[in-house]
Amino acid sequence: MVSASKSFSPRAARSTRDGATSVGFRLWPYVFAILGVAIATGLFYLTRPWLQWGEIALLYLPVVIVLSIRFGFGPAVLGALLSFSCCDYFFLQPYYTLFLDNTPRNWLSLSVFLFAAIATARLASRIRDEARAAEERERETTMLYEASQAISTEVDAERLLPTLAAEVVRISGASECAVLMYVPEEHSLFVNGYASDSGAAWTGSRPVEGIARAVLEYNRSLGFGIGPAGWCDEVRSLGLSLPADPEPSAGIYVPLHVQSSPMGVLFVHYAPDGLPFTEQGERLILTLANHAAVVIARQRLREESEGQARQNAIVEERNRLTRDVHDTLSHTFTGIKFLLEAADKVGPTPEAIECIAEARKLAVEGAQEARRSVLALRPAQLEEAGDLAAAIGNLARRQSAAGSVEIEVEISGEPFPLSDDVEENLLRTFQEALANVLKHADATQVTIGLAFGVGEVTLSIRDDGVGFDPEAVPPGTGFGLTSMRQRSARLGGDFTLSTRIGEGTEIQLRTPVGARL
Amino acid sequence: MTTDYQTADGPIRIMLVDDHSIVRKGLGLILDAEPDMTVIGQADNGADAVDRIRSLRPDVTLMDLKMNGMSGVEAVSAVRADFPSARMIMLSTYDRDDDIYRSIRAGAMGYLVKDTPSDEILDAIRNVHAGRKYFPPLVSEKLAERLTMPELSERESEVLRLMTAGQSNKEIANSLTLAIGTVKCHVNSILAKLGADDRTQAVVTALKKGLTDLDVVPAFRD
Repeated sequence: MVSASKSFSPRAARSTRDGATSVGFRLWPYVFAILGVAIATGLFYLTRPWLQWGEIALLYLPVVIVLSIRFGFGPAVLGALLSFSCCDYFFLQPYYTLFLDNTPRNWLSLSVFLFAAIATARLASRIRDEARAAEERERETTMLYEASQAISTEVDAERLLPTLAAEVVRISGASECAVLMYVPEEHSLFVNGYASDSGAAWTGSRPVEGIARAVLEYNRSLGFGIGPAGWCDEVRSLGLSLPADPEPSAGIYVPLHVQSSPMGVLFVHYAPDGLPFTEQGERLILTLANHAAVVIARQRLREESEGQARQNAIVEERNRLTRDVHDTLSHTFTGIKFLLEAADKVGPTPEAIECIAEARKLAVEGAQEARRSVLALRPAQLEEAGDLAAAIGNLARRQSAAGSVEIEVEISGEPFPLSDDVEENLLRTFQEALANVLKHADATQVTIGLAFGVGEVTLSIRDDGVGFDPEAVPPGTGFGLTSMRQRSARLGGDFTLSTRIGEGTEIQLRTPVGARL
Repeated sequence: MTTDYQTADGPIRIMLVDDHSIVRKGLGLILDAEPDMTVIGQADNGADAVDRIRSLRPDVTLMDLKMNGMSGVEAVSAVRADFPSARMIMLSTYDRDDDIYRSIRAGAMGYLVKDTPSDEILDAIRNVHAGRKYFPPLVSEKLAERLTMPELSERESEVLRLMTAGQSNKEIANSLTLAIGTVKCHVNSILAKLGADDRTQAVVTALKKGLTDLDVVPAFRD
C-alpha cells in the first residue's frame, strides 16, 4: 500500500483505497463504454427498417455524451470510435462490411460524425471535471468552515490547540496531529495540542522533535512518505530519522510563524493503513497551520500581559513592604536606639527610667506593626495562581489527586477581577471549609462553586458526606464556622450553612463586590 | 542678609531638626549630657528649621533628611544660600548614595545614618564645629560609587519613577504622552545604566541607590 501510493493524485490515492490493482488507469469505465455502445447498437439495429444511417449516427452522439459525463474523456473517445465502427458495419450499405466500398461521400459523413463525437466528448468531460472541482472546492470550504467554527467557538483558551489538532485529524483523515510549541527562551519544543484518531494520548517521540527542529531551522515544510516529488524522502536526506512505533506511512511538518518569529511546528501523521493525504488535504493542513500560528501568537501575547500584570503586582507588594518597613519599623528601631542611648548617657535618673519605658512601648508597637505588615501579604496560593478561581482550581486539583475525594470546581457567570481582600477571605473560607470536609464529612464528592453575579460573588462548598447537626456543635469548637462567619461579616456578605445528619453539607458565602480598579 | 554666620565661644550650640519627636528627645538628652554641647532649639520640619536657624544661629545643626513638607536637603540649601558657612550635618535613616550626593551638593558638612552610635555622632558634631567635614568610611565609599555611575537623563528619571510605581510600558507611554517604542528605548537605557537585567531589578537598584522614591507614588500609600 505504501509503495503503491507514491503518486500524488487524489484519484489515484482513492483508488488504492478501493482496492483496485492498477494505479492511474482504471479499466471498468472502458468496459462500460464498450457495453454502452453495444447495447445502443443493439437497440438501433431494431430501428434499421425505419431510420436512415445518418439519423442513427445522430443517435450515437447522446451515447457518447453520456459516456463522457459519466466516465470521462478516455472512455468517451473509445465509445466514439466504436460508434463510428458500428455505424459503418451495421448501418452503412453495404451492411456488415467495415471500411469497404465506402464512397468518398460516406467517408466524409463518417469523418464528420467522428469529429463531432470526439468534440462533444471533450466538451462534456471538461464540464464534468469542472463540476467535480467545484464540488471538491465546496467540500473543502465546508470543512474549513466547520473547522474554523469549532476553533472559534472553543471558549477555553487551553483547549484551542487540541481542538485545532482534532479538526486536522477529522478533515485530513490523519492518524494523529499535534502542535509543538516553541519556547524561544529555552530553545525547546513541547507538545501542546495533540489529537489522534484512536483518542490515545501523546507519548513523546525523539524523531518527531528532531524533524520539528529542522523544520523550524530551515523555516519550511518537510514531509516523508508521499508528497510532491520535492518532499519525498526529504526528511531522510537531511539525515533525520523517521518517527517509529508505529511508523507512520506519511507525515507532513509545517513551521508556524507569525511575523517571522517562530511559534512552533504542526505535524500530521498518517497510519500505515490510513488514507494518505491528498493535495486538497495538504492545502487544508496548511490553512489550519496558519490558524494554529495565530492561536499560539495570541496565547503568547496573553501570557506576556499576564506576566506583566503579575510582575506589577510583585513590584506593588514590594513597594508596600518597603514603605511599611521604612515608615514604621526603621523609625521604631531608631527611636528605641536613641532612647536607650540617652538613658545610658544620663545615668540613673527619672529621665532614664522614662526613656526606657518609652522604648519598651515603642518595641511593642513595632512588633505589632511588623506582624500587620506580614499579614497584609497576599497568600502565596493567590500570588502563584494569579486569581481566586485559578487558586481554588489548583488547590482542588491537588486535593483530588491526593486521593479520597473527587473535587469539582464550577465557575459560573462572567468572571471579573476581585479585590485582594475579597480574594483572600474567600480563599481562606474555601480552605477552611475543604479542611472540614476532609476531616469530618467522610464525603466522596465535593462541588465547589464560584458564581460571579452582578455586583456580587458567591462561593459555595457542597459535599455528599455525613452532615451534622449545627445545634449540637458547641460554640468555639465550630469547625472554623465562627471564623468563616467573621470573614463573611468583614466582607459585608451573607454566610449560610445548610446541613442535616446524613444529607451532606453546603456552605455558602455571598459577598458584594466592586470591580477592582 | 549681609551678616555672615559666626560662631561664639563656649559650648557648641546645637539645633535638632527631625519630624520624629522621640529622636529629638533622645538626641537632646544625649547631647545635653555632654559638657561641651547644648541644644538651643528644635524643629520638626524644614521650613521651621530654616526660620529658627536664621534667628538662633546655632553652631551646628543636625538635620533630618526626610521630612514632610520641606526636606532636609532643601532646608540645607536654603540656609546655605543665606549663610554659606553654616555647619550642618545630615541625619538619615538610609545611606543611599543619591541622598548622600544631594546632601553634599546642598552644602551639608557631614552625613550620618541614624543608627550610628551616639559617641560617633558626638565626634562628628565636634569635627564639623571645628570646620572639618565628617563622613564615615561607608558614606565616602557610597559617594565615590555614585560619582562613577552614569547619570540618568531627566526623561529617564521620570520613566524610572513610573516604573517604580509598577506601571507597564504602555501605561508609562500614556502618562508621559510618549510613543511606546520611545518608552522601551528609555527603559533599556535605564537597565543598561543601572546594570540591571529586568525591570524589577532596576527598580530595586534604583530604590537602593535612592534614584527614585516610593513617595512619589501616592497610589501605593495604604
